[in-house]
Amino acid sequence: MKFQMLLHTALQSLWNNKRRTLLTMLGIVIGIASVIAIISIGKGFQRETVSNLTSSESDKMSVVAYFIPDNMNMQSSRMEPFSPRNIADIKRIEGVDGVSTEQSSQSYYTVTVQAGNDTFSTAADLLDGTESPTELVAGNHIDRADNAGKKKVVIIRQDIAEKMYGSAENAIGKGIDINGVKFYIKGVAPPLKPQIISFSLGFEKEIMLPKSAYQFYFEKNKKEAVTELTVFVKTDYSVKAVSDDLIEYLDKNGNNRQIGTYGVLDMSQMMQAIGNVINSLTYFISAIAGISLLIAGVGVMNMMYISVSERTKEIGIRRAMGATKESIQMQFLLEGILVTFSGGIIGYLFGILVATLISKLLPFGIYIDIPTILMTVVVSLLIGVVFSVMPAKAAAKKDVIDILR
Amino acid sequence: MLIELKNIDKYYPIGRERLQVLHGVNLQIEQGEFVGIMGPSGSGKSTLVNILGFLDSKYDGEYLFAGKSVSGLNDRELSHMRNRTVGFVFQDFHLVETATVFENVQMPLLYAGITAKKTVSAVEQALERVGIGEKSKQKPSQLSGGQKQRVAIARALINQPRFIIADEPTGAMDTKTSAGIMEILFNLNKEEKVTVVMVTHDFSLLKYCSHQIKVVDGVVQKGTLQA
Ligand SMILES: Nc1ncnc2c1ncn2[C@@H]1O[C@H](COP(=O)(O)OP(=O)(O)OP(=O)(O)O)[C@@H](O)[C@H]1O
Ligand SMILES: [Mg+2]
Repeated sequence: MKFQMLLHTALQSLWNNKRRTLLTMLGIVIGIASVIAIISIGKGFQRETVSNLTSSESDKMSVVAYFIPDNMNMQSSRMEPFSPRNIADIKRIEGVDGVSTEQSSQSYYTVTVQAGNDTFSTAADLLDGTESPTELVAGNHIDRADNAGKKKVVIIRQDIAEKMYGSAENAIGKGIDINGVKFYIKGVAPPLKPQIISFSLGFEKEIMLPKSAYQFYFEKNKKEAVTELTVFVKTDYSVKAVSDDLIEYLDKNGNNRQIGTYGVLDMSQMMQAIGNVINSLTYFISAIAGISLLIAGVGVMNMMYISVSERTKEIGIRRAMGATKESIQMQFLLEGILVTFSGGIIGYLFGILVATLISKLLPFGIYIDIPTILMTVVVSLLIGVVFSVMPAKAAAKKDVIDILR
Repeated sequence: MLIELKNIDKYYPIGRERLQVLHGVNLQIEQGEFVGIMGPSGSGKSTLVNILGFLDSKYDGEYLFAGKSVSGLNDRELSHMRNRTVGFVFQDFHLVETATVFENVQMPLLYAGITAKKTVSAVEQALERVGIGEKSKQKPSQLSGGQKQRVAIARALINQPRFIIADEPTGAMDTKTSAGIMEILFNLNKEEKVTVVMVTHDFSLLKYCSHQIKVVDGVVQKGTLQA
């Protein structure tokens, strides 16, 4: 019998048992759908994480070298882990494209403010007078002259001003204690809007003061020592090899090797590691979801055995009409595969749909790739074959004489 | 010689014992004969025709079909023989209930590897021939016993077989229906020289037969069976 006809026969018998077919298929649909939903969300999350990590850095591959003193309380002013000589040497390590000594910019500066009887710590905006002026309710902005002269002037918020001096206008020219140093109120800005998340850089701060004054009064003891080094790697060199050379050099020649340890952070490796963790997590969860597929597979097997026993007479008749054992086996195998395959396709689409709906609530999109699609096809075919082969064999093995008696 | 059985023994396993159903059967059937097989119930008639129709290959002895031994053939070869050389008509029809009349008759052609499109006219002709051309879209459950047996005959002759095995084809029918079925088989034999091997309990049907065989307790006795 032509394959096409076997397919037709298999489809017809599935159609004759619509309800049973659909119920069996449902198991496969749910199993595949949950695996697909988990994988596509997991992959979306993975890509999002990795792209977040990479976008902040330049595209060049880099290694970050750092220093941890043995005595954590040691004053940073007494350290110089990367001396100019060290930096010059590192630049000559093979594969190094360049070195950046730029300090990781501190995202915000905290000051302690004494307002009347209240003492509180808050983030401060450091201005150099070139910023575009913001709205004020009273007084004036901090200008270049303030910054150049390291003037002890400050802009505070209206609510603090009113608490201390009754009104915004009254507060102008009055004093306020910041980190124990008396600053003069030059301007009053509208009160801060309530913020839920306040760690982002762009948000407004409680108080503003000249950058130079901040550095002069609160950071004057701080020496600008290089504490962290970003080493860029030439494209055709292995990041691993360069970072190995780097740590070897620092362990032997680092300026502060006696009072602490050097370390390197290979960003690309870190990213890979994070990616791997998310990956294995995704596959682990899908493996659990895969158990439902296994149960669905047993359902398929059950359906096939029922189908075989219900149609014993038909098998006998077909055999008498010239069907070979293989042809009978193929017919039942095809039935099982058709159920799982169509269940797999529907499950895939359903899983994508569910994942898309879920991703509407998440800050990232789902990710669909070809391997996942292929996996769906292969897995659903495989379930069909594995769980139908025994019933199909049983069907083919039946003795014609016994059936037709 | 179309069919030649040489010393056929047939055993059925019954638990650990085995029951001998056919004892040294020797039989010869020529092309174009209409053979009637009679004998008491349980004497082994069905067992014998199942062997003749390549449904049963578990026997001792030799079966020559058109001069060639079929005793050692494998499943694929036997299936091919069933498909191409023999048509079956059973007492209880053995039609596939979920398929239409058309699909039932079409089935042997599909197993012969013919595409569905090319079978249409042959199937329609066969149905016309047995007088139920208008029933082709119906399911067997919607037909009477006589009509079902006509479908079975149409199915049996669709592949233009060398011989037809009919195991009590009119067993469950009244005289008039029975006569109709016998007429079809008789005409097939007369006009197209199709060999027919028919098992029956009905002496009145022997008038259609050119040859008669009697089976008693698994032993074949030749001769005239006229009552
Ligand atoms: N599959 C089987 N297993 C065991 N014994 C069997 C089997 N098939 C038939 N027999 C036995 O073989 C003997 C012959 O059976 P068979 O069906 O050939 O008889 P028959 O002549 O066709 O009878 P009837 O006229 O009632 O149809 C019987 O005793 C029956 O019980
Ligand atoms: Mg019988």
